[in-house]
Amino acid sequence: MLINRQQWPMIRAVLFMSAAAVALYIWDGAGRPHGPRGGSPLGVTFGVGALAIMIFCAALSLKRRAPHWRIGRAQAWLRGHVWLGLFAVLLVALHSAFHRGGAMTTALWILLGLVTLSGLFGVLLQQFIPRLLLHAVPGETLAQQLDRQFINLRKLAEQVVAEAAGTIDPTETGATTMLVKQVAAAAYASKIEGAAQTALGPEAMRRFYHDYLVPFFRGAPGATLASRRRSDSLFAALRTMTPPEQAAHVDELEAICERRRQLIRQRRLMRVLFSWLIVHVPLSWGLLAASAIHAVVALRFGSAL
Amino acid sequence: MGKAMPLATFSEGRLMTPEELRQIGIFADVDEKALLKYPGAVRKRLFAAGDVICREGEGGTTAFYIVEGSARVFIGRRLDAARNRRRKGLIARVGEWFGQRRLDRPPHPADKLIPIDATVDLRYGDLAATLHPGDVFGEMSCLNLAPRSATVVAETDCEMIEVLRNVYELLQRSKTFKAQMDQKYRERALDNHLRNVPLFESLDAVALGELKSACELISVEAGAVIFNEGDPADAMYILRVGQVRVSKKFPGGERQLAYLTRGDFFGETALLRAAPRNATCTAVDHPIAEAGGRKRRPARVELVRISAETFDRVIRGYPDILKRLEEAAERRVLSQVRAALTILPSVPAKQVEDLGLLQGQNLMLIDLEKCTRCDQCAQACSEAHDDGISRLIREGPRYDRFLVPSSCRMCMDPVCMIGCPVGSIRRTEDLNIFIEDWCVGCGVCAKQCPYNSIQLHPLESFGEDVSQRAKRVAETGEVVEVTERAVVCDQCSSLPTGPACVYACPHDAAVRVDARQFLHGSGLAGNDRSAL
Repeated sequence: MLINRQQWPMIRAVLFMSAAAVALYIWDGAGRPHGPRGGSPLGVTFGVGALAIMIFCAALSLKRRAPHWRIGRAQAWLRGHVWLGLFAVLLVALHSAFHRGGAMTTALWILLGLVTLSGLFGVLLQQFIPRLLLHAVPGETLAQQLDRQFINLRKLAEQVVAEAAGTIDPTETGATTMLVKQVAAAAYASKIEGAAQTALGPEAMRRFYHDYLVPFFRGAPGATLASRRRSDSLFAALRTMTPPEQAAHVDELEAICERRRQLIRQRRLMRVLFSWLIVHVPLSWGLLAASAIHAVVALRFGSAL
Repeated sequence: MGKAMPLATFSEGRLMTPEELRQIGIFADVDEKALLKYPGAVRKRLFAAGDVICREGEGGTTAFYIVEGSARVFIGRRLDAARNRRRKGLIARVGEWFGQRRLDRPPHPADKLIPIDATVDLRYGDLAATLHPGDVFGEMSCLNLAPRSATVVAETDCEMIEVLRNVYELLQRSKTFKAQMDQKYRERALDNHLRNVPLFESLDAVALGELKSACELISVEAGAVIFNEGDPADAMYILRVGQVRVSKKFPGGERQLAYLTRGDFFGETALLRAAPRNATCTAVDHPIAEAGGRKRRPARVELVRISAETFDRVIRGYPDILKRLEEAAERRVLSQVRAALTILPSVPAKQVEDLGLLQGQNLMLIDLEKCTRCDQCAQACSEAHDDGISRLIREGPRYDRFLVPSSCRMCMDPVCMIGCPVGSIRRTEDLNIFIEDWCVGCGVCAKQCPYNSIQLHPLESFGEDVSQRAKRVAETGEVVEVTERAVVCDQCSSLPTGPACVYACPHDAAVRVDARQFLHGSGLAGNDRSAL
């Protein structure tokens, strides 16, 4: 959810409710000899209000399972989830009169803190990761399609290399790391590019495939082509070793590698974008369950544990 | 139903000499020299009872004339399979209880006509009819390369003449053949076509007979204008063969309002109101034929013309027809008013043109700065349709920070409507594109849509169990019917909350906009920035 001017009505409403709650808290506390208490009628009201908001917030995940139900626009639900969720933190603080309490309430505080922080982290990620995706991954695809795309790109690269260098054996291992660069340097130094290119072209392409493309498409850590900068220099070297008629093949290979890098970036960014949910969702359910237990025990036995 | 078996091809059968052809009445006055120019373009075909002659949805380039025997023509779609199934599961049940309910579309009456490429039409209730000697089928496939609109199976042992286009065109110029076809049409289809016009459905037999005898059967070349907007109204028309484009001028440009197909009628509004024509109607060729590349003679569009005098004479005695006419005319005018959105005169950027954004009357855009790729839009689309198929694919070209996903944009020129062999794709009064359940899955609409917004889905997606179908075929020997059906975004027009994709987007990222308003005013977005 992008924080923009459209959020203002909700923010204003929550600020107003917060001010009203704090004013009530001060007024109620002033009339009590031991100050405000969670067990007072107002304190219980704050607690019940916070629990109700938590239930509402948790219901968002149910709403997501039935996105077209006529129970309010998803945008309104999400705004309510974020801003009322923050309001609930204030209500909990007022309910507890800013005391940590016993073991149960301390655990509740920790859970609430983690849920709130993870949620805020999620909102923060949503402010810039979509923009990053927009600009850094022009060829973005559906997340479900990524694996298929990786396979297709590998096949395409193999096809291009096969067209340029004849049949290739993808299982053959490359034993001459940096050979391509060395040969390129030698060819350049001896100023026999024309002859060298013609002779080296297919072999250079094959070596390039085994030494660089295969590790890159296997996702080997530290693959040279995973870096745009190093990829540029490698392809520049490859161009010096291939005859002009293979330039189109080299260009195509370079484009395939760039596309794969983009998709890798997309996967990484999307993992980050959704990472906070791993913490937020289970802890939220835990918080809700613990809060419900706390409420039952407190109301039934008059103890906050 | 016949046994499933391989289709015969044109190379099968026996070549016919001009002398042999002359024995057959319809070739009696065809120029023999012209026939000699096309040796091999006519074959005599013998089919045993049960043989499959052609299958719906498949390509075809020939027409068949039945000399002897009879053939069953049918659309193999089991409508109960084509219809959507109810979704199961707790959430779906709860959703039915308090969730959204689709507003019911009126069901089709059993006698609604489904146009096919034959001298008869089918009725929605049984989707089958019998062809007899003298009947022709496959004319549109032959002339326009349209996919076969129905399956034809020999009911008895049959003798047929199969012809290629060049010879069929010769036949069309033959007075004998033309007279025979007109006669067949008057006998077998005109009645139904007239009754299919809501205005005439309550006519008694005498009045209908009078109308039938006064109707003129005319033909025009594809590309010819039948009448122009502003012309005086002198007749109304029923479409007999081919397609007609209805367009209208608006400030800033012309818009295509609809494409009409066999059995549709037009031109009645101006007659009723004694006013000039309010739209232009043009005969159109089949898109596949147009895209064929080979230079060819334009196909002919055949029409039934009901003159203003006949029209006046008939409706004068039937006040209820007058009332129906007024209602129909009102509906058409209303849909034109809805379509009369201002076409802005600004010259669009090349990218806007390339992406066809200006076509979109209800273009879906996803703001990629807001979108968290949660896929709630696609999920909501899938949930909102009983078949569980998402009409929205969250992929497509980008325009600035917006993604233009594959989803129907309600084009101003709905070219997807051109060429449907059974007229199952249509534009509703609220300008949505809708595919009826008798779609034969030929894929012409999907090919025609420039924006990949129509997908073909296997029928099992709609609830038919493939193993059951195979069992049924094995047990009954029933001809294997088509296995796919086209689906298109219906803009959730039957949901009270509007498009489910927009309703379900939690991040304000998905919007539906009128592209012209949206793009007007600035290099990117329009006046209605609040929509974003």
